[in-house]
Amino acid sequence: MKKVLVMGGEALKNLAKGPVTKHVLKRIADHPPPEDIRTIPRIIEARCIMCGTCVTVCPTHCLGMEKDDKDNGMIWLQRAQCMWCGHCQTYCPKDAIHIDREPALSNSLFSFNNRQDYEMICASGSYKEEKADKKLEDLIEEGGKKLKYLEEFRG
Amino acid sequence: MTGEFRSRFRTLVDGSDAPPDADHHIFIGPQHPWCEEPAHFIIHVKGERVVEADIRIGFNLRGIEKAMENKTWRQNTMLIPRACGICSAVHQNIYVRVVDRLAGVEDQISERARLIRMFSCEAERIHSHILWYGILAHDAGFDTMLHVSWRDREIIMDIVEDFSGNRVNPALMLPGGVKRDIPKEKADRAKPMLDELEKKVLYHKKVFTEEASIRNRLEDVGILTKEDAKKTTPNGPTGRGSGLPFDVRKAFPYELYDKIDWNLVYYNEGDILATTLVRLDETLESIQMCKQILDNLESTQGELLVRVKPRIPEGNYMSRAEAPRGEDLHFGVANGTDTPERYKIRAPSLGNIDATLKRMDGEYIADMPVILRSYDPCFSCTNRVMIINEKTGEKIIIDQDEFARKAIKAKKYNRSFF
Repeated sequence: MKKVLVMGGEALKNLAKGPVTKHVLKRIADHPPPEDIRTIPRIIEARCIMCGTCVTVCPTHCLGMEKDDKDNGMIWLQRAQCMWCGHCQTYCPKDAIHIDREPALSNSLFSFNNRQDYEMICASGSYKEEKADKKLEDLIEEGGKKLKYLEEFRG
Repeated sequence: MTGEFRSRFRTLVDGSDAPPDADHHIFIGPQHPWCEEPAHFIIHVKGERVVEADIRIGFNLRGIEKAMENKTWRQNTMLIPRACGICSAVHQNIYVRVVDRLAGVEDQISERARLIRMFSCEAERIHSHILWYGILAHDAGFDTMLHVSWRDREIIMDIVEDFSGNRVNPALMLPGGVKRDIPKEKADRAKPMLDELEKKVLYHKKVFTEEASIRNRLEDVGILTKEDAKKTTPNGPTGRGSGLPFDVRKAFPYELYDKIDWNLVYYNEGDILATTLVRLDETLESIQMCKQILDNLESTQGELLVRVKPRIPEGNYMSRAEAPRGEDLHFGVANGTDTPERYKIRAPSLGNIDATLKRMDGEYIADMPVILRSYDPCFSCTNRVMIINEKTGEKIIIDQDEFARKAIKAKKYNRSFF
C-alpha cells in the first residue's frame, strides 16, 4: 500500500507551470470583489426617519447620532471601528441602509489617516451643513488626540 | 482524577512534582515556532521517551462572556462568532438556537432558513478540516501537502465568500432565521466547484494513505486506546478516531440533520493517522451534504426571517452542536431585558486536552509536534482559571496577580499554596 513519490505528478505539473504567484497577480484584475461583499453602511437620506435602530443594534458602537425630531438629525460613522457586519442594514425598519460595494474601499480604510476615519453618513433638516461640519471637525479633533496618545504610548 | 491518571495542571516551581524517573523537562510555548496558539506544554522526558506531559493554559483570556453581558442580544449575534477564528458559524448557530428557544420562535423558522444555516456550518467544517490536515502535514515535515491542501481550500472559501460576503466569518445567521438567501444562480455556480473540490480531497486522501513519507510519520504514533478514550472523554474527531462513535449531529439532531443522508465516520485504530482519516472522510461527507442541501434549496420555499423582539423573556436554555473540533456547548440565561444575565461557552478544545496528554505518554519527543496538533488546538476559546485543592476539594477562582502573590509567598515561607 505504501508508495513513494505519490505527489510526483504534482511536482512535474508545477515545474511546467512555473511560479504560481505570477498567475495570481495576473488574475487579480479579473477577480473584482464579489457583488455581495459586506463593507461599510450607506444611508439613503430621503428614507431615514432618525429612529436610531442602527445606532442601538451596532455591535461595535461605530455609529453615533444627534437629533431633534424625525426630520432633523445626523448620523456619523467611525470607519475604522466598523466591522462590516451589516447588522444596521438587517434591522433598519425603513430599508434606508445599503451596504457599500466600492472595491477600493479597503485601501482607504487602512490608511491611518485620521481625517478619513470619521464620516457623516446622514444629515437632514437643520443639521445639514453648519452643524454637521462642526460635529465632524470635533470628532476628528477628538480622534486626533486619541491617535496622538497612542503614538506617545508606542514611543 | 483517579490514581491511574496523575493530576494534570500541576505547577512546576522547583521540579519537585515532576515524575521521579524523568531526567529532563522540555518546555514548549506559549511563544514557540510550533504554537499558533498560546499554550504552555511541560514535557518530562527520560532519554528520548516522554514520561509524562503537562499543560498550562490561560494566556489568552479575552472576556467574551463578560462582554456579552454588557451588550444586547442583537449585538451579541455579531460578537459570538469572534469566540473562535475558524468555527465562527457553529458558535453563531448555537447562539441563535438558544435565542430562538428563549424567544419562543423555534417552531416558526422555515425549512429554507434552516437549510441555509446548515450549509454555512458544513462549509465551515470543510474548510476547517482542510486547514487542519494542511498544518498537520507541515508539522510532520511534509510542506508540499500544506501548500497543495491550502490551495484547494480556496475553492470552498470562494463559495462561502460568494454566499455571505465574507471569507471566514460568514455570519449568515440571525435569531429567527438567516440574513441572506442563497439564490438559484449562486447555487448553480457553486455545484461544479464542489465537484472539483471533491476530486481534490480524494487526491489528498490518496496522498495521506499511500505516500510513505507522511504515512510513516503518522501511523502507530500517539495511540489512544478505546479504554483510555472513555476515561479521558475526548469529543469530536479525536474521540471518533479512537472508536467512540459519538457525534452531536447524529445523537441529538438539531436543525435538519435528521432529514438528510449522511454517514457517521469513525475509526478504531486510535493513532494520529486514524484521526486524520476521520477528518478526511468527514470532509468528503460534508461536501456530499452541501450538494444535497443545495439540491433541497431549489424545492423549498419559505420566509427567511421571523421577527424576534429585542427583549427576551425570562428563562434559560442549553444548546449544543458539533463544531469541527468537537462538541460545542452554550448556556444562556435571560432575565426579561434586552441583555443576557449570563452566557456560558464551553468550547471543544478544552475537552480534548486531557486525551491528548494521555496520548503522549511513552512516545518519542520527535513525535510531539504531530501529537500536539492532533486535536486541532484552539485556545482563544479555552481559557478558564480555576484552582482546586486536591486534599480538601476547595475551589478558588483568582486573577493572575493574586496567583503570583500567593505563589511567591508559598515559595518564600515554604508553606502550602492555599
